[in-house]
Formats: sequence, C-alpha cells, structure tokens
Amino acid sequence: MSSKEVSLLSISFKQYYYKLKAHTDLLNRLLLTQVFALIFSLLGTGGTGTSGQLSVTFKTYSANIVIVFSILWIIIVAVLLTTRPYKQLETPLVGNRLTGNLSDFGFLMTASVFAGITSTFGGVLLRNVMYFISDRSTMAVDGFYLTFTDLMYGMVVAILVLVLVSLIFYFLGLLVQANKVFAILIPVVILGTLRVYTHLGQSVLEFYMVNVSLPLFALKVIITAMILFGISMLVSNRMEVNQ
Amino acid sequence: MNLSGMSFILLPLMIFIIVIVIRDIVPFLRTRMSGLLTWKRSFICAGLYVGILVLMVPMLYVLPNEGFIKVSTNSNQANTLYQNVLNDLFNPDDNFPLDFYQQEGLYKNSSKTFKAETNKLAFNSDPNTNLPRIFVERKAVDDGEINVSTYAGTQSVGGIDITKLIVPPAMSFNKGTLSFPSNNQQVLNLKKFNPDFTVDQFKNGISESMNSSSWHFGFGQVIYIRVPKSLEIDTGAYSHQIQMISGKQVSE
Repeated sequence: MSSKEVSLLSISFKQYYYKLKAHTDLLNRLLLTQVFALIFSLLGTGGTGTSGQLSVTFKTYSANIVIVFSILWIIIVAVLLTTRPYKQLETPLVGNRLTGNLSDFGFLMTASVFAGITSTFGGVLLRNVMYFISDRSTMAVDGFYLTFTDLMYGMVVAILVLVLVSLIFYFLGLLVQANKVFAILIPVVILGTLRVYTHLGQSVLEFYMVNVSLPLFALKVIITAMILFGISMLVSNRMEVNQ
Repeated sequence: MNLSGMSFILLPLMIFIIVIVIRDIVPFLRTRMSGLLTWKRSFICAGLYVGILVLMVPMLYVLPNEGFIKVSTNSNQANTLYQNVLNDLFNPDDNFPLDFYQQEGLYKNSSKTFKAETNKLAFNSDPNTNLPRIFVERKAVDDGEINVSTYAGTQSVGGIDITKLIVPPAMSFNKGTLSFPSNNQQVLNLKKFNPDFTVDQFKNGISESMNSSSWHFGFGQVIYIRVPKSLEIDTGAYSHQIQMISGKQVSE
C-alpha cells in the first residue's frame, strides 16, 4: 500500500496529458477538415445581378466555413469522448469519474483553443492565397486587411463558441451513454420544441450573441459552461462503472 | 437579390462531406497510416500548421495594397443618396429645374459635345436596349452645339458603392440623330472579403450584416442634354423616356 498522497488535480492532469497523446488522431482530423474548408472557402459565395446594360457578378469570401467545420469537428470530438472505446482508455490509469471528466474537460478546452486559433487564422491564410491567385483588380480593398483587433476579437469569440458547443454535446453524449433512450429522446425533444416554439432557436442565439459585448458574451459562456460541466458530473456519477 | 441561394445548396453538401471525412475517411487513412502517424509526428504536424498560419498574419500586413478596387463601402450613404435623387428626378413638378452639377447621388461619367448639323434632334435606340432617362434643356443661345452628359445614379453591391465603376452608355451622333447601340453591355466582377460571423455579429449586429450583402442598382443612368435654343426635338417612339428639364413632357 502506498503512503504517497495524490491530489485530484495531479491525477486529472496525468489523465489529460495521456488523452492528449492518445487522441492526436482527432487533431489530424481537424487539420484535414480545415484544409477542406479552406478549399471550399476559395470558391466564395455570391450571385449575379443584372440591371439594364450592367451585369454584376459578386462574390464574398470569409473564414465562416472553416469556423463552421471546426464547430462540427468539436461536436464529433465531444460526443466521441463520452463513448465507451474512448472512456476505456482511462482504465489503465488511476482515477475516478471526477478525474475522468476533468481530463475530458481539459482536453475539450485545449481542442477548442486550438480549433479557435487555427480557424480564425484560416481567414488570414485565405486572404494571402487569394492575394496571389486571384485578380486583384476585381477585389475590394475594404475588408481585405483584417485589423489586429478584429483578428483577436474573432479568435476569442471562436474559442468561446467552440467551448460552449463542445460542452453542450459532451453533456448530451453523457446523457446518451447513461441511457440509450436519450439517443432518440434528445433529437425528438429538440426538434419537437423547435417545431412548437419556432423562435426558440433564434431566441437562444440572440441571448448569447445579439446586442451583447464581448465580456458579457464571455461571462454567459463561462456560466453556461460551468452549469453544463456540473450537470455532466452529476450524470456521470449516476452511471454504471462499466459505462 | 438573395445571395444566400448558393450557400443554401453548398452548405448542406459541405456539411455532409465533412461529416463523411471526419467519420469514415480519416479513420480509414489512420489505419493505413497508423505506423506513420505517431503522437509525436501528429504534434509536429499540428505545430507546423499553427506555425504557418501564424506566419500568414505578418505576411498579410506587408502585402502592398496595390491593384485593388478602391471604392467607397458606405452603402448606407449610397442608398440615401439614391432615394434622394430618385425623388428629385421623378417628382419633377416640385424639383425641376434640377441642378445636375450640384445634385448629390449623381456621378458624371461622361461628357460629349456634338455639332448640331441640322435644326432637328432625333433619337434612335436598339429595341433591346433599355434607353436611360433623358433630360433635355434648352440653352439661352443658339450656339450650334449639343452638349451631352451622362450621369450614373448611386449604385451599390454588397456594401460596395460601384457608381464610379459604371461606364457611360455608348452613343453616336450622325445627321441630327443621337443613337444608342445595343452592344454596350458592361460586366463587373466583384470580390469582397467579409468579416467572419464571430466578429461581424458583435461589431455590426445581425441586421447590418444582412444589409451589407444587399444590392441596390437604383435607376441606372440618366442622360442630360443641353440643346441650342431653337433646335427642334423629335422624340419619336421615346417620348416616355425623354423629358424637358422644365418638367414638361416633350411633344413631337
């Protein structure tokens, strides 16, 4: 019997470090996803309009697709972390539900920060590529040179969005692992609610993103993240050992 | 014009492809490349990727801003001017004589002077051509010159004020007839970088973000003709398009 005391955080950190190494394939998926998204982004979105003798073809470019794809990636990662094969990775390590969830939380935070930074910088890469491959005489200078403030702003917001989405889907993933009925129940409840309360989705979005400052948005995300993590812990504690 | 039409089709397709990539293709590649993709190599790859992206930031700021379209992106101002000038042009009873030289929202894009070869001015246009609105003003003197100026009304596409990019309508003057050929189609290709939605919604709000993608072609162009005092005007089939600057419709 060992007399050495181990703290919760040190075990969680060891598990986190172990998961970081074990789940590097998830990082590779993100890189591939973002490369695909950047290629799609090069196509731009737009349309053609005609007025008399004038015909205008207008295309807009942004890193929105890269961010959206990164959000999809983090959803998949968050759900995967709650599945049995990924949970079984913890088995060789000393720990409990709490350390396992804390390490998952740490992993999701790291993944969100990485994806947030790379997806925002993807917009910069897109601009650089377009500068060299596209005819600049058809490109408006306004909006091309991102200000450093906008870049930082976008990065922080992207990270916060990814954190929020990852914790929502981590919680939903845990619910499904706790009881498979939720795999059917959750989509039914979400779709049913959105059908009855048609403006609910928009209201939720507005609560977080419309007419709020960045600090307020960050505060809302942090509070929601803490609540979601707390509930996830409660759900996790009620699960069977082998789940 | 609705710009989201293309993205409406593309986005679900892209989402479908990316889900397939994340779920199936990557694990397939991973099993094939499991020997190559160790965690150390994966971290190096990720580090290199971040490194390249970070390097792109200073690179963007040192790129010279030459060769771009440098036009106003104040679409709100453009729209206001368009509304004002529309009101002034098409409510002539109150607003004429209109001072074309001072009128905001009108951009003069060409000016020509023709010798009045006859004592009559007629108009000719291809049936497939949308003839711009023509305003005719008589000069105080008989100087034998017909001064034709063309003005583009304020137009904006996706928040870019394109008024100054509009080419004037092609025209020729021969034997007292001012002709507008049909082969005067102008094609403009425009590209613009928009801020990501993560920034845009906080900085500009959702309504402003949507407004920035709107199109306002306005009324197109107008032609302002100053003719000698005694020159006879023959509007022919275009009487509804031609208007005396005094506000009275020209009669044959």
